[in-house]
Amino acid sequence: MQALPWQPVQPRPGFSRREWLRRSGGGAGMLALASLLGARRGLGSGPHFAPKAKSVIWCFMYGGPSGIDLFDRKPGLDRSDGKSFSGATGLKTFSGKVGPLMKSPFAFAPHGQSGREVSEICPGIAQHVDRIAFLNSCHVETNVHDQALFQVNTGLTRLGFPSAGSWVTYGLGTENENLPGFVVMYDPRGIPVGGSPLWSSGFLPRTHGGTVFRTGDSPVLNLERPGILSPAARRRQLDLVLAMHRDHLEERPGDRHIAERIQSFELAYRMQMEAPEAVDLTQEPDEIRRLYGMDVPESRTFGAQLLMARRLVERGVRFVQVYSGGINSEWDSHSKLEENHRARALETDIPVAGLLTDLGSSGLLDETLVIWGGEFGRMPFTEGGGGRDHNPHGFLMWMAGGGIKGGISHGQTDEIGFRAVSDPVSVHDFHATVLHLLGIDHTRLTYRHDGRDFRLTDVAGEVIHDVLA
Amino acid sequence: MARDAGVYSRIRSGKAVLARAMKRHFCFTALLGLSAASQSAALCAQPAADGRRLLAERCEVCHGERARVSGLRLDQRGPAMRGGDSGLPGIVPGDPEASRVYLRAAAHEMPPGGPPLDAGEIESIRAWIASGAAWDSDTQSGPEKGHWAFRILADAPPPSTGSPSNPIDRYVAARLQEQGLRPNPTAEPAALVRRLYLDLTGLPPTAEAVESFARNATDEAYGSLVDHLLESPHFGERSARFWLDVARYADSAGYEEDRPRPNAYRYRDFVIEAFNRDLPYDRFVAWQLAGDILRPGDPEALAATGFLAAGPDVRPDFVNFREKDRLDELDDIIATTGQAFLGLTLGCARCHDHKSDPVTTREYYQLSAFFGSTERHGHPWDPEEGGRHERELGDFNERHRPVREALETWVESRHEAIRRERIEALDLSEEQKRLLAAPVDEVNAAQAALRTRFADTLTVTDEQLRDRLDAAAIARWDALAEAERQVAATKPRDIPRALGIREGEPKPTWVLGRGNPEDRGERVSRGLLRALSCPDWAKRPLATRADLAEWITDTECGAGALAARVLASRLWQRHFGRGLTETPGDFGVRGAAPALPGLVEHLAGELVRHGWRLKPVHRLIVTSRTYRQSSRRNESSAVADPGNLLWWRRDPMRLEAEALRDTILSVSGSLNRKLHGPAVKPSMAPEAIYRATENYDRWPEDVQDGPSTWRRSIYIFTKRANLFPFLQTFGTPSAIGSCTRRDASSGPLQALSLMNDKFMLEQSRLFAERVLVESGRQPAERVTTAYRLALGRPPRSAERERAVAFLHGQAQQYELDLGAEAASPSQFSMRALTDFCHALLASSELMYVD
Repeated sequence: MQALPWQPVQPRPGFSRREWLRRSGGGAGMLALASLLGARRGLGSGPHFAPKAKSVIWCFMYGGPSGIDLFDRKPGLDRSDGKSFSGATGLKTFSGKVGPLMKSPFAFAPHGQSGREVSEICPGIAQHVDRIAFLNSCHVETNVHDQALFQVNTGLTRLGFPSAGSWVTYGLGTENENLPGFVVMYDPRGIPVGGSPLWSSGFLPRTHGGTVFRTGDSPVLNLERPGILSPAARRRQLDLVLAMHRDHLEERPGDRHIAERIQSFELAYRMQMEAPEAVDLTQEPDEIRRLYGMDVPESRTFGAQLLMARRLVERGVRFVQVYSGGINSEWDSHSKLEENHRARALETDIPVAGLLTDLGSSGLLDETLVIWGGEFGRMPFTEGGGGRDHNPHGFLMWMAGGGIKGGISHGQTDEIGFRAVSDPVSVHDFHATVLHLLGIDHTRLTYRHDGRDFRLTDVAGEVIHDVLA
Repeated sequence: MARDAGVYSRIRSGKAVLARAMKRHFCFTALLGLSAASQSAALCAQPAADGRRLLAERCEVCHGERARVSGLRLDQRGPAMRGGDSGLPGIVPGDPEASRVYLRAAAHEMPPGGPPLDAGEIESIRAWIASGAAWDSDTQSGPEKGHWAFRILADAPPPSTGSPSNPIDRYVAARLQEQGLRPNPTAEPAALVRRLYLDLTGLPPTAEAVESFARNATDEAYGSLVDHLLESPHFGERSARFWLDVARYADSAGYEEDRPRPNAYRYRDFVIEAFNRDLPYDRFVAWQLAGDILRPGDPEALAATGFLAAGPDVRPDFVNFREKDRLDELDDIIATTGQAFLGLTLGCARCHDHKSDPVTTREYYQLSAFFGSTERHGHPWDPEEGGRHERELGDFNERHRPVREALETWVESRHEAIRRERIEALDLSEEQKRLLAAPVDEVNAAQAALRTRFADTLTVTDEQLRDRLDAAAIARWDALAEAERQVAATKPRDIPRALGIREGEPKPTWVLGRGNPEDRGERVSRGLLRALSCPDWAKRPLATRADLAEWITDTECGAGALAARVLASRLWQRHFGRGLTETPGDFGVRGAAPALPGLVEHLAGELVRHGWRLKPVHRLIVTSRTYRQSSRRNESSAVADPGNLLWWRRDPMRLEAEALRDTILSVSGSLNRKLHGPAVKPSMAPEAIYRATENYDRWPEDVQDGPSTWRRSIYIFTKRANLFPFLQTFGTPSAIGSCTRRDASSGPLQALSLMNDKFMLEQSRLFAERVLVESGRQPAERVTTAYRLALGRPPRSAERERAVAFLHGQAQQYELDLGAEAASPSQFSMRALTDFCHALLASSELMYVD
């Protein structure tokens, strides 16, 4: 039985990093090359101004969570319960069904010093309201899942543009070359619709695209050494490959691409060492695993992913996105909203709260921006039964951590929660704010492609100064 | 860039918002959707037309670079001031009343054809002249006509420098001499053969082919090798890959459902065949844009229209934002057409005039009018069969309709009765009951609310109906249903098709404010870019897409000169890794100018002189000394021209994703060289397979790779939301927009693929088995055979010794790891050989072509 469980390729005893570098193509030169690679980032001279956050963890509630049933209590909606909706001309719904207005089936109670009212199904996050800046008035341009997913990720409803995570890693470079700068984890029940273009680097260099991490022993595709090879056998083989590379390079001195290829083998080797360790949750004490809800079957997966996210951010990963929700289990509650949201909250509330607690107690929260939100929200009216349709006109996201003023609330929807009416937050505003917290002026992070200078925020976007600490 | 901006703001208006937009220098056009548009409305606003612009738009058709009616040209300041044959000054800056251009316009004498200038426009001309007639540039020519890529083709002889007979070498040598540089010597024969094979066919030469050429490395032998490879069917496969990048070809639709397009491959096959048969490029363009119009009975020409159908499909059956989605798809078509044939970023003009290139928003919508009524269509692959199928389908519908209607009427009348009873029983007002029972009225909100509330009441299930029927009625129902089933079963099966486009219902085209479908402005008909047209085109009626295609390759009077330059640069790029300009995606004003402008003109001219056939130009390029140079660095040249912009050497090139996979298959001996056919789905790691929705078309999990999947990579199914990981890792494009230059970066994920991907392990094993069969039993013999197969050369002695030592040591390692009793010595040495073969497949030498 040679299919060994994952074991990183170990250097032979007494085989130092220096030795490995020497063998793999010339120590000093390699190190110079490494720093050369690091320097190749969009903002050559570093951030535009002092960053408040170094990294981002984005808890992505795929399918469209209902802000008005979670964090944005609408007394006006309670009063209008059962009445018919007459709020909009030219209303375009996704399902085509406009039922009566429906108050939230959940009880709300105030929490923290800020007194923010939170739904009974989010008791965990409720404990953190004073850390959170709620954006009540977000809006997108479409009520179709994939196009809204594209917009929230890339700024545009069309596919093909770089994701926010790609822009950030492009702009700032990486803090740890042994790990990808932009990591994506999706729900094992299914990938969000739209697929890998959601975390694509678009026209940015592909190294800035999101790398999918899975839970388990081999988080990255092809990370695992073939089982037939023992570490020693692989070591011997790799030495042979590197010797061949080196001969090739020696005959072509100064060829950057070939030198980079050798470097890429070094990086791969180090990633094989570091990535499994980074996601090895057995190293975490039980109380931390419990903190993330890993002792509860419903929240075990999402909790594990958020704990992985914390470990990655700790190790210098710049941008981590974790999607909650897969096939038929997403937040997309066209019917039975109460049942759906109870289940989704059970899966995610404790893990998210655990993440905030954990980051808070280690101090990492000061330099980590935590984002919560989906691609749109849900309508105040039903579709006839107990569900709500997609609502792109006004929905809630929140931010906490690095550079965020806690316990505040920005913008409002109308009294039933249908449309953003004060301080509306566009996706461009949201992206501009995320970049700002990372020390980037969103108007100055550009990339020339086919004769045009592109930005994450296109030609719009205003930083939401209200939420800055 | 700063200069461009200044020029631009002078051409347009001096409004502060525009100046701000200039400063930012962004293209928002293709990006903006609905509500975002409003945020930047000011930035996207149409600039007020001013005098200079009016001249360009309304006068230059006859008084421009090409036409010069009455000796007058208004595209440049000097000639415009001098005036035409009349001898009177055309424009006197500061004095409109002395300017013949203004006087003729004010007298409504000009322009003689087309709509007259209105009072506001005449006033704009007056005001512009009165304020000094500021021109696009203080030198002589405006950016439009003066831009190198937009001029008609220059016809200058190559420099006479030195001795080279190939004109390419003369252009290159002349520039190198100017800089005091010398070209590299010709590459070693082995390197040259490998280069030529991989470049022309995407597959490596056999060691025999390398050795045979090395024994007789004459110009004649090289020339006949070139001819041989240009005739190989693999030449078309290789060439097609470059075009498919530009055409953003894929086998699925993208977006949420990412539906498969099982008939899309006919377009891919058309492209392969077009290159193999050397279909003249003007026809290649015309068929892709208008094959359905030009050759309605020719399946290949119909398949060629797959170019227009290849873009991502936003959502054809979705009502929400249908018009916006349709416009996004049109934008994809215009952007891709502009990029593929003209190297222009036309998408920029969707909501404002192009910032640097002479493309107005109006022209953008005029171009879009060519495609306004196109729709995707599966053309029958065999036209005869198609006709027969259509008749049979018609017959079937004739037979089916009565039985279907009989069934539906019978059921519906009973449903209706049940619904009425139920509505009667509801506790509602009479008016509400009437509304519920009434036929659906789309705009009646009260009815819609009621229908939503009582959806269950209105829905009658088969079971509910069955419960209410007596035996006789049920028998009747069953009989009707059975009759319908029997006829339905005779529906003719669908026939093989090619995905392309056809003309659907004509649709009007409006200029849209900021690209917003709800902000309709002027209604426009088909039109071309003025800056690339002479008067003949302005006068011609533009009936179909065929006219657009003709204009694109019209070198005398249309965009053909630009198209030829773009194509010449693309051909060069394919052979040298870089184009003749540094910006292959932008031949506009802000694109890079070529380092060797004469060479661009010459090669573009050669294409036209050869009747748009490509192979003669391929031949000219690959037989040049410039192409055959060694790739070695020459320190003094590298200091003087580190980017090799003047082509003093050949750049080493990394194999693209597809060529890498194909080379590996070829080396292991497993490549299935079958041409054409439906796309294949090789084995994909289960963890890489995406599952988005329940009915999502997933990549199959149970694939066993074998000859049917060991096809060339161009035949692998391109699934937009779930690209084939091996190819994606090595830079295959995402097939979402036109890709003119691949990302050649390397990274750790590539190294992980090379070392750990199941494909690599399997191919290494097959390669080792091949070595066993084709070589002697001694380790040194095996090493030699493996080197020759993988790299086309025998190992040097140090390499051989190292490899033999590796084989020995690795076999011992296995014995140590697994225990001596676990396998026989020959099995251990086979494992060692596999690991060695794997190392060769992962080597830099295999991946980089000198």
